[in-house]
Amino acid sequence: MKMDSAFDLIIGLSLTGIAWRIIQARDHFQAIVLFITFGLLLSLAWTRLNSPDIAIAEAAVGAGLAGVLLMDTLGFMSSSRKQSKPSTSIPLLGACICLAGLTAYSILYIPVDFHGLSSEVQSALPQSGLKHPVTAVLLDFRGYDTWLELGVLLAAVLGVLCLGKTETINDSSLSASAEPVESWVIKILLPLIILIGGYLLWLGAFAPGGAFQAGVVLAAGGVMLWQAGHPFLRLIPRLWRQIIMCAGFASFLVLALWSLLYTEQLLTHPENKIWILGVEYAATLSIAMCLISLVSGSPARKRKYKKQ
Amino acid sequence: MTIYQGISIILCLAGGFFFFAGTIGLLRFPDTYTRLHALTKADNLGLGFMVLGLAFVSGSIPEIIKLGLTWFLALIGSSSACYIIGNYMHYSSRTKDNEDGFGL
Repeated sequence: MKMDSAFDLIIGLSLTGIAWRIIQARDHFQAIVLFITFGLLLSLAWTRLNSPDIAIAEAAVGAGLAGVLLMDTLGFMSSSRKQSKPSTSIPLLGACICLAGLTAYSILYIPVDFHGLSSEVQSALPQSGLKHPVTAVLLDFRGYDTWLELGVLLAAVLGVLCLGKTETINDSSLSASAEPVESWVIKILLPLIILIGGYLLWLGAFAPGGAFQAGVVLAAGGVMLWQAGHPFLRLIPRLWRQIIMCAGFASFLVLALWSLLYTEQLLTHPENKIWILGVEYAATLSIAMCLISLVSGSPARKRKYKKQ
Repeated sequence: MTIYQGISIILCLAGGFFFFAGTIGLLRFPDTYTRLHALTKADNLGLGFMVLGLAFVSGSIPEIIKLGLTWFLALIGSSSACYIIGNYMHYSSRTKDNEDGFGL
């Protein structure tokens, strides 16, 4: 018990310290590396809080893909980089300290024997046909939230695709990779990535895992291929890419309309598991496709590689 | 304490030593290549000893396979990332285009 709290204390202190260093970082590169470190430590903290679902998602999205996107943006900005000294504005600092103080103060009002809604979720779990409470909440009880999250992701991708040139996504053969090491890494990692993505998706029904984690792992494979200059995006017809991107949102929409017609309630799907599985698989594919498009559709790419 | 736990503690301490040495190397070595050397060697050996140590106290065969897979993936990741960073440094120092070396 002593060791555990010491470990927790170290994680908490390093998180606070890294957050402070991010604010104080002199250049963007340092801030991004610290942000990735922050994400990894945060996923460790989630693991300590017994939330492996959030830990996987945080490690994959917060540390992995967000890091790639930020690095990409940095590559775009590096030509017009201005070093600005970090300045701390006193009113902002005061507001932040007030917010932190209020949040800390609110901890005092949490009843000691408070277990959240977990008992309600556990009792309603058989109705959803799933065995893992987190997946049941995400896809069944609070399906509305997940639906809107997919909508947010889709809107972000649409924004990037509108800003970037349309040919950037088609033109993915960057620096044609003759690198022996990169192709070697891809040959080993890609099958494993697909395997692990499928495993996480399948695992979601009864253990930590699910659509978001699986989608991000698959997207990581796609980003790796794309970084190495493999023209796999061109192999998928453009229409199919668009269909895959919309599939998650659209399947929720179909489910909502269907249930509205038949049961007069939004998003109440019937007993059978097929609906949930269909929505989850579609969501995984479109999350993966959206994230790949977010990275590959960025306007930074062309400028960066023109030099070489 | 069984003999397995004793072996496990010794191996994990050895792993911790290599991580410690690698961190010192990262902080103290003069340039990118030597830092990469310190980092990758230390990560591979340190993580390897830790995985070996944890395998001695793990409950089941699948757990050991998962631990081994973790080490295998970390080996691939760190060695190829080392190659890519080193290659980039080599390329950018050769062409004297090191302005956006991102402070490596």
